[in-house]
Amino acid sequence: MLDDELKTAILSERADTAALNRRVMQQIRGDAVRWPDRWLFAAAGIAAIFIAGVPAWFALFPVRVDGTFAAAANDHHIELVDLQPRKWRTGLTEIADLAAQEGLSETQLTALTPAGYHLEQGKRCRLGGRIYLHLVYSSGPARLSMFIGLRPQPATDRRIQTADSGKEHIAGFAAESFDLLVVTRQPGGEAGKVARHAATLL
Amino acid sequence: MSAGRGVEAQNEFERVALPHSQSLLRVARRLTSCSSSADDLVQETLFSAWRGFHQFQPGTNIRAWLFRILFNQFYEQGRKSRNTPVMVQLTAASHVTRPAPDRKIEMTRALDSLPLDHRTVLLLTIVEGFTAREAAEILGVPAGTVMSRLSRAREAMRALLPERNTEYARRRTENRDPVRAC
Repeated sequence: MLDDELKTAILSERADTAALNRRVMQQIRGDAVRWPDRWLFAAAGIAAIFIAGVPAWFALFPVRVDGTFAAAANDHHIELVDLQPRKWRTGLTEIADLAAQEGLSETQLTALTPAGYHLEQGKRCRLGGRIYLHLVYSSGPARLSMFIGLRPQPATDRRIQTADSGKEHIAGFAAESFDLLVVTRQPGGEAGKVARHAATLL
Repeated sequence: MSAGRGVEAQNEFERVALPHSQSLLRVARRLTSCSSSADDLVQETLFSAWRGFHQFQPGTNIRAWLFRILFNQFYEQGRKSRNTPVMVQLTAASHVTRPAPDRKIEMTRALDSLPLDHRTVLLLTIVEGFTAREAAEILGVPAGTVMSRLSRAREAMRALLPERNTEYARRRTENRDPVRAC
C-alpha cells in the first residue's frame, strides 16, 4: 500500500522534458559538427608534438607504459568510467568460480580485498592476448580494478612497477604463478599500496 | 556496436535514450531537490551517454546504463563541489505538515526528508521498477545492501506518515468493534 501510494505520488508529478530533450539534441549536434574541427586541431597538435616533443620526451623519460598496463587502464576506463555495459558477476560464489578457473582459491580471492574496499563484481577479460580475471572493488564512490592472470612461467623480477595512463594510475607485478595489475583513479599512490598488499599474498 | 557519430547515430540515440529523460528527470529532482540543477544533471547525463554511445551494445539495458551514468554524474558533482550529499536523519515531527493538505504532497515530503541512500533505493525500485540487483548495479553496491536500505526506507516512510497510520489504526479499531460488526 505504501509502495503504491509512493509510486502514484511521484509518477503524478509530470515534468515537461521537451525543452530538455531539445537542448540535449542541440548539444549533441553541436558536438558532432565540431568534431571535424577537433580532429583537425588534434591532428595538427599531434604532428607538432611528434616533430618537436617526442625526441625530447624519450630522452627525458625512456620508460614507456607497458602494453598490458595500457590495456588494463583502457579496460578500466571504458568499463568503470564510461560505464559501457558488460556481463559482470556480482555474487561472491560466482566470482569465486571465475577465480578458480584462473587458479585462484576463494581464500586468496577474499584476502586480496584491499582494506576499506569491498568486492563488487568480476568477470574474465583479455589483455594483450591473455585471459585475466577482472575484479572490481569499491569504497564509496571510489572504484578500483584488479586484473589477475595466470603466468606461463614463474617471474624472475617481482618488483612492483607503476605507470599513469590518462587519469588512470596503474601498478603491477609478476609473482610466482600470477601477473597482477591494479588500476584506479584514486590519487596518493593508492594503486601501488594495493599492489604491495597483493604482492604479500601471491 | 552502435553506429558512429553521424546523423544515423544521433537519430538512434534520440530514439533509444531520450524516451528515458522523464524517468531520469523525476529521479534527478528528488536527488537534487532543485529543478534547474536536476535539468542540468539530466542534460549532462544524456550528453555523457551520447559520448559513450558508440560503445553501447544494443540489446543491453540502456535504462539501467543511463541511471548509472546519472548517479555517477551526481556523485561526481558532489565531489567537485566538496558538497557530497550529507545524510541527515530528520524526524517526522519537524517535517510533516499537519494536517497534510494532500496525500501525494505528504508522500513526496516524506520521501524528500529521507536520507539520500533511502530515497535512492525507493526511487529506483518502487518508483522506477528496477529489481534489487539492477538497483545494486546502478548504485555500485551489493544487492543485499539495496534490500536492507529498502527495508529501512520503508520503515522510515511509515514513521514519517503518522496521520495515515493513525487513521488506518482508527479504522482497524472500528472494524474490530463488535457492536459495529453486528
